[in-house]
Amino acid sequence: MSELGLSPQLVDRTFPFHVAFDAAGQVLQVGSVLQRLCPALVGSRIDDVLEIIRPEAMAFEIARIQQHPRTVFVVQLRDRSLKLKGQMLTLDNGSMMFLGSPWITQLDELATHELQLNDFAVHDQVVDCMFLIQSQQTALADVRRLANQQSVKLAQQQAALLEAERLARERLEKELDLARQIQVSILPRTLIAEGVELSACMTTATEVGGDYYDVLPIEGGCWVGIGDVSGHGVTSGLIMLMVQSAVAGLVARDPDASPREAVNIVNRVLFENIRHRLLKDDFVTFSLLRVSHRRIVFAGAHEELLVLRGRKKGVDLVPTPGTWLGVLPDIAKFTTETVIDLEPDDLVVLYTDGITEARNEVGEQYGLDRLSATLEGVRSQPIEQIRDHVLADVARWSSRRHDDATLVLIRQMN
Amino acid sequence: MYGLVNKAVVDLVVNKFGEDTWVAIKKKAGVDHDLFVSMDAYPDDITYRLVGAASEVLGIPPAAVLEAFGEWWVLYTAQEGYGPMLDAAGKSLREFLENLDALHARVALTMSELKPPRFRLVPIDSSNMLLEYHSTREGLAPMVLGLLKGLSIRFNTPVEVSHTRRDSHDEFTIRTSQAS
Repeated sequence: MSELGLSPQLVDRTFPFHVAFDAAGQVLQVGSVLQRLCPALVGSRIDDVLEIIRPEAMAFEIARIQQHPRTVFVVQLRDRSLKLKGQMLTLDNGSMMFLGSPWITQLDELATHELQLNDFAVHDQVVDCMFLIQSQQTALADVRRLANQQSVKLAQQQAALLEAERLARERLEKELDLARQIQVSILPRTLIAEGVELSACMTTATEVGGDYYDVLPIEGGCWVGIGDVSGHGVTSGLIMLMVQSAVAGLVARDPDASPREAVNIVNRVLFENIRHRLLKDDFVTFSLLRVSHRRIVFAGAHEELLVLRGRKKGVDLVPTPGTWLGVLPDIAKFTTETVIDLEPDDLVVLYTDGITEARNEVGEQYGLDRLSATLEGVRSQPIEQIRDHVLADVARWSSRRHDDATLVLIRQMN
Repeated sequence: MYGLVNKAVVDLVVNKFGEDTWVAIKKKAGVDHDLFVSMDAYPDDITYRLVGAASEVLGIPPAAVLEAFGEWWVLYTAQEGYGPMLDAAGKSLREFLENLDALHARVALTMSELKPPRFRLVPIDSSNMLLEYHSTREGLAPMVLGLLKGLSIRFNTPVEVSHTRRDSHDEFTIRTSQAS
C-alpha cells in the first residue's frame, strides 16, 4: 500500500486551525483560518503568539508534550479570547503539529471570534455541537415561556375568583342592608298607650337578624307583639312585614279580639305565604299580647315572659306555650291563652334570644338569671333607664353582637 | 413539521393580523393547540390545514400565504436564537445560499425527526445563479420564493427571482442587480 502524503493544502482543508512547530519552537506551518485570525504566527516563535492552558504549566516543548500522548490540549491565542481544543501529533521529521478546532459552545461566539461556518472543515463537529446546544436552549426557552404563561393564567383565574367573591359578598351585603331597612322601617315610632308605661329597643346585628316587635295602641291599652324570624336577609324582612301587617289588620278590625284567635289567623296567613308563595321553610317564634285594664292576655310561643311584681321581690317566669308560626297550616289545638293580672308598678319584660344568648369571650351565655338579676337591681327606675341599663350590661357581657337583640318593657301605671 | 414552524405561523398571523384572526384561523383549521413546543414534531397535516385556513380567512391564495411565511421564517428563526447561525452562514446572499444546504443538514442532526429540504446552488455568473430545491413535501415551493425575498432584505441585496422549473424538483433563477 502506497503511503498517503498530505500536501500542506490538503492538511489545511482538513484542519484549517492547525499549527506545526519545530523543537526550537519556531512555527513551520499554519492553517489558513488560524492564519487569518493570527497573522503574526508564521515565522514567529510559537510561545509568543499561543499559550497552552491545558494541561497546566505546559510549554511548547516537544519532549515534554510527547509525555502526554492521550491528553486533550487547549491552546489560547495570546491576543484573543479564542481557545482551540485538539491534539498534539509528533511528525516523522521530529517536529510537532497541533490539530485543533475552536472551543466554543454558544452560537453567538461565532461572531465574537469573527468565524463563519465556512471556516470549519466539513467533518468538524463543533458546529453540530452548537446546533445541539441551540436546540436545547430553544426547548428550555419554550419551557420557561410555558411556565410563565401558566403562572399568568393562574394569577388571572385567581383574580377572577376574588372578584366573583367580592361581587357575591357585595350582593349579600346589599341584601342584608335592604332587610335591615325593612326591619327598622316597620318599628313603631311612638310608644304611648293608656294605662301603661312602655319602652323598647332593637339593636340589629350584621350576620343574623330577624327580630320583630310592635306596639299598637287601642282604647284602654295596647297590643304588643314580639317575635324572631328564622334565617336572615330579604326573606326574613318580608316575613316580618307580613306578621306586622296581619296583626295590624286584625287589631284594627277588632281591638278586643282574642290573642289566641289572632295568632291562629296570623299563622294561617304566614303558612300560606311562606310555604306556598315564597316556597321557603322559614318559621317565626311569636307572642302576641293584648294589654288592657290591668291585665295581659297573650298567646303564641316565644321566649318566657319575665314579670317583676311591684310589691314583692323576685322575678316570675311565665311560659309561652304553643308552637311556631309558619310550620303547620293550623295551630289552633296547640295555641292557648294565658292571663296575667297586673298591679300598679308590675313590670313585664319581653326579649329575644339576642339578649339571653349573648356570649362573652369564653362562650358563656348572658342567660335568664343574669337578666333577672340585672332587672331587679334597677326595677324602680324610669322605664327608659331600665331598658338602657340592661342593654349596656348585655353589651359589656358580649362585645361582639352576633344576633339582633330586642327588649320590650311594659309597666302598669296606677 | 417541528413546532418551531407552527410557532412561526402563529407569530406571523398574530403580528400582521392580530390575535383574533389567529383564533379564527385556528378554529377554521380545526386545530386546538393553544401553543406549540418548538422541539416537538407535529403531523404535517396541522401545518397544511393552518395554511389552508389562513388562505380562506385572509382571502389570499395558499401560495401567497406560503410566500409570506417564507419571508417571515427568515426573521423568525433569527429571533428564536438562530440569528448567530444565520450570521455565520454567510456575509452575502450568495455565500448564504451556498451554505443553505449545509445549514439544513446540520440542523437535521439535532432534530431527529426533521425531513429537511435539500438545496443546491449552481453559480451562473457574477450576478446570476440557480437554486435547486428538493423536498419530500408537496406544494411548498412558494415558501422558497418568500425565503429568497426575506434573505434579499436581510442582505440588502435586491433580487429578481423566477420559478423556472417545477417537475421532479423546483428551480429558481436568481438575478442580483449588483455583482455578488
